[in-house]
Amino acid sequence: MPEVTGEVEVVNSLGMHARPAAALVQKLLGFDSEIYISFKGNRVNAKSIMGLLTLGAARGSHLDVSCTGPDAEAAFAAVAEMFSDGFGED
Amino acid sequence: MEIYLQGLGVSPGIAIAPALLFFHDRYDVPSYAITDFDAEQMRLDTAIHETRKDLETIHDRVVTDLGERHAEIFQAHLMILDDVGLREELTEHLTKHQRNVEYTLDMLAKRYVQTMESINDPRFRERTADLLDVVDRVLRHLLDAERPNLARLGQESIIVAHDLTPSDTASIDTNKAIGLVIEAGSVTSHSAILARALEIPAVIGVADAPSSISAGSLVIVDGASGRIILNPTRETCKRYSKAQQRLEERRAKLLRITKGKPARTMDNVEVMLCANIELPLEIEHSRNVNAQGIGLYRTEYLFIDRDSLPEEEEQYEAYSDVARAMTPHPVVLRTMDIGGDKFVEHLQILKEANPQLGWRAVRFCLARPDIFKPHLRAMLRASAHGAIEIMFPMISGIEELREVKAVVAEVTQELDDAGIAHNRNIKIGSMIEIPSAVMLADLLAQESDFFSIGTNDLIQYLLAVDRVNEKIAHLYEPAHPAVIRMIHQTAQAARAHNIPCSICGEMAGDALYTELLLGLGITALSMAPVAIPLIRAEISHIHLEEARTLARRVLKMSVAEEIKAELKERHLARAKKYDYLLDSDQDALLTEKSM
Repeated sequence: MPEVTGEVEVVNSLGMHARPAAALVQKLLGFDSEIYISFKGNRVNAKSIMGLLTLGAARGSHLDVSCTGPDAEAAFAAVAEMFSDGFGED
Repeated sequence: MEIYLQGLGVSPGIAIAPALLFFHDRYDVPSYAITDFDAEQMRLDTAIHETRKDLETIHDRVVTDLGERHAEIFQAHLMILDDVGLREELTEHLTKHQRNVEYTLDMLAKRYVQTMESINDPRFRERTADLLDVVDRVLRHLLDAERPNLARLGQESIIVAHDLTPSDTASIDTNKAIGLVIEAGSVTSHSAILARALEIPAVIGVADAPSSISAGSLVIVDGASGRIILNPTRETCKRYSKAQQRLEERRAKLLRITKGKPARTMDNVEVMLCANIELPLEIEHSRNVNAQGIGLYRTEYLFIDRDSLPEEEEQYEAYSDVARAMTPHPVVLRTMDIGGDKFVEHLQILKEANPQLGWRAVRFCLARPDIFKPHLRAMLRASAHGAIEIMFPMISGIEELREVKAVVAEVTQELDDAGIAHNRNIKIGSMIEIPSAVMLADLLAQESDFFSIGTNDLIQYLLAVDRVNEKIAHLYEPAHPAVIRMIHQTAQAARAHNIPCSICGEMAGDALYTELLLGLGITALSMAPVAIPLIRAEISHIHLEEARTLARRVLKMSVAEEIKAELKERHLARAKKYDYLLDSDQDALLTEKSM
């Protein structure tokens, strides 16, 4: 199974709060891969809004992303794009 | 024993029914070991399935009744219900710890909440209430609990609560919930707005409301006076149910006799009667009572209780819908009055020491062109679909009016350049609600197409009274001679410059003041749709010449009590003679001899 890992940074000023988390989940539900995000020793399913919120990732946080599955590469690209885009917020 | 409680009446009418206490306390969740994992997983799946059905039903109903944006919260709830992370963890815990699913779910939810609450940024806590709300719904199915479900009530009830969340209020079964008693809240709270829109009698700010009322006991709600009566005697019940019956009969009769007729005085002068609205379902109410337009559409309700700003497109749709539905009648869109008591989380408006004197309405809009311009663009674009007019709140002087008009001109130019349809001669009005605007009414009239007096704020600013503060609420006095003079001065300035002057505050819907307002030179009144038939009946028994004489006499009076006594006597005499006494006269209604 292909696996892609990498790092992303939270760039929008308000951090990954409820709205961005919901947007990310909506986007990622379309991928078959398992996608996990780790931050400060906490590892959560990136398709889970509740999980994402418990990370408390403020602006400037660096998060580790790992995607495993047939579309791992595309999934990682989608995650990276949403983060670098600031979830369309700023 | 009969007990009287006093609160602030926010939606008129009388309701008599058993109390249904609505608490947000968590359930007592049992904990026991399980042996059949599959059976337990099945129970969870069934409960989630049932909860999803509940949420979808509520969502669809709210979309129809209140519009898409009030239903967003249920979308968020569905998303939490289907959260894959939560489901993974649930299954993992069920297999590993072999405890029952209620316990496991409750424990996990608490853990999530704890984690989110430990984060030092309130934005990450926004969803904790929603998570608990959803978990509660699932637990209700798992425990088969007798927890009141506001969306499905067994019998007619008075809902008694400390407070209601927007999701509680939106999901209320309005056929069975016939009254609301709320301990917290303000006149502009979500529950108050909705109660008014749905025409359910409601009283807020009732101290100790849930704790002093026992479940199932009989309660009388008098939404006009803000009175709550617990354990009423048979005598009292009889009195109120007769008053209620009378009220309903008269409302129906009033509607019947006034429907389809313009509001015209005895000497044949037509007065324009419009509706104040904020929710889509009120458009229908306005048409039902034959409103001659929307005199105040409070656009800020598109902005509150949500995570993100409404896009220009969403606003455009909302404004166009109203414009189309009311054609050919005018629709006055008031630009958002955000700030003050309406805080919007995502706009990052900080709590201020004096919000009523702070960064709100046009002050806020002028500082945030990124929000103001799309807001105006949406309004101007919608003006292609009906008789839209734009009104600016909290205008304090001529500079502010010129500034907002400059922004309108800029947006108009942009639309022209892009070839987008809009009304190029859109009417622009000033809301008169700050005393300085009254003092400058002659200047503002030269540069406005119309005036609308917002009496609620005008009285508050003029008399320096916050009417939500119970210690001084009695000082809030619409009949104060200073208030009367201010209305007179504004109406005179409008007449001198040949522009219409309406009133859109609560005074407009109070029959006590109708004759005086017309006599002072007011040409249009805008009020909650429910008040229109009564005011129309009142107007049809008023003689404008007499009203002018009355106004001249009242302008010479020096005491509010004296003014009110005179107005009351005249109104009651008319209403009794022509048999249309209604809720603003409930005390009179209750003591009527024939009862």
